[in-house]
Amino acid sequence: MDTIVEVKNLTKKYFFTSPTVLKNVSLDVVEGEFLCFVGPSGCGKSTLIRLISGLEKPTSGQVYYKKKIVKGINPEISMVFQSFALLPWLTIKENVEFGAKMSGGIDWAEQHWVRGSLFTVGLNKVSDMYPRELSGGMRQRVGIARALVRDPKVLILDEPFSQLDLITAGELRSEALEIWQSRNLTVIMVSHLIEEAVQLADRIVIMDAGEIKKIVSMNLRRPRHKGGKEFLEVVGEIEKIMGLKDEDQ
Amino acid sequence: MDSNLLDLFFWQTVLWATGLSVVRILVSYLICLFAGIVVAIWLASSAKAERIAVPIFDLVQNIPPLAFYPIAILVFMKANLIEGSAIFVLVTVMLWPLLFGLIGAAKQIPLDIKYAARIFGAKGSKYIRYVILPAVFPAVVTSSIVSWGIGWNLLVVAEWIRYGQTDIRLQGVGGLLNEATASGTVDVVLFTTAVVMILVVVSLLHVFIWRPLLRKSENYKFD
Repeated sequence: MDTIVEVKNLTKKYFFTSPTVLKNVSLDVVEGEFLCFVGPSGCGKSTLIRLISGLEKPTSGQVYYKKKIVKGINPEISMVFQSFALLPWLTIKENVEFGAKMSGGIDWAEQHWVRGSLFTVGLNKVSDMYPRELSGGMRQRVGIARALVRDPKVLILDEPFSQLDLITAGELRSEALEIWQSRNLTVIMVSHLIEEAVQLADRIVIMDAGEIKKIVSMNLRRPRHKGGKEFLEVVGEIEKIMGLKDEDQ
Repeated sequence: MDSNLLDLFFWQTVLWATGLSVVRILVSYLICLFAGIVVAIWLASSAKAERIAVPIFDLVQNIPPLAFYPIAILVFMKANLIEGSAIFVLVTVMLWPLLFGLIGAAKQIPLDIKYAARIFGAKGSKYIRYVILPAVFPAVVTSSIVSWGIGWNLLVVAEWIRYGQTDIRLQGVGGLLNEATASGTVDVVLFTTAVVMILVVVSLLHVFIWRPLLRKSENYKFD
């Protein structure tokens, strides 16, 4: 498979006097893979995805998308946010259509896509409601539908399930896997939950203090069950790398 | 003017004066609203501009507006624009709640909302129209209520202009309040009528404008 996103010697500092958030990070994201960044708060994982998506500019180094330097927002990269980031004054359907509206207008093909995306996440019956009328899980489904309407090649998920209850988060993880597999997407996810990363990802990038500590490739077959022996071994291995567990434990 | 509640001319004068005052405050308010929105958009799009401009605005708002009054009168009288000086005084006091309310609201737009808007292609005028303006709408409503309240408070000063040795009294409900107390004794009928007219207009504005807008603004608030 080809490399779709290439991160080369990326460094990010917000101000001259502030600490370096990312230190010379290099990484290849392979087309079609499910990549997950894990690490403690402030390790630079969210900054890294903002640089990949073109939301922010690096202090030094480059991000390449299909061999071209990322200079701004890329319509082939879409994003799902931790806080859902829905516009409260728009209905569910209007929120999902937002991207199409911003890029000119909504033609019949895009309407078809909107309906399809709403259907994919099971929201076709509540499309005229407002975000505040929905549960957290439903709101995040809207966030996913909005991201899918653009028919992205890369989907970035920024801690998408961290504000949801355990059951809803579990359901949405399964749905995210289904969407990734059925749409042939490349998914880049940020998580602070090791188990979540092990359950979903092909590769896990462990970050600490603005650097990549280690990249772990997953050899577990899907579906992955959280209680399984191999699953727990991988979780334990990552915990050791992250320094959450002693080497002899 | 004869302060007689049974006199049709008395009521014509009072209603006309009230209408003029409402128009005066409305014009001042629209100027303030436009300035507030322009500045809020400017500051929302530049952190550097915000760091420089907000302390300056804070400094300027603490200068008593009446200190500007003699200069304003001089300028507007020379230009033969009596209404201009009244509107100037109103603007100098009505501007600040709107300006700071809007700046605060623009600053409080959640970062994820700004990122989402950019990711999904909102930029330039579309970003302003579809993201910033709806996001600051609740602050526009609450700040407008405060701004109008301050406008009514300053009306008495704004509608009675002293230029050299000459008193120029603008027609308006503030002017009527001045007139009711000008001779040293209080014209109770005129004074009470003027106050009641202000209360009626304020109540009508509240029922037909502010309350529906406050209700509508609930849909625009972030969690």
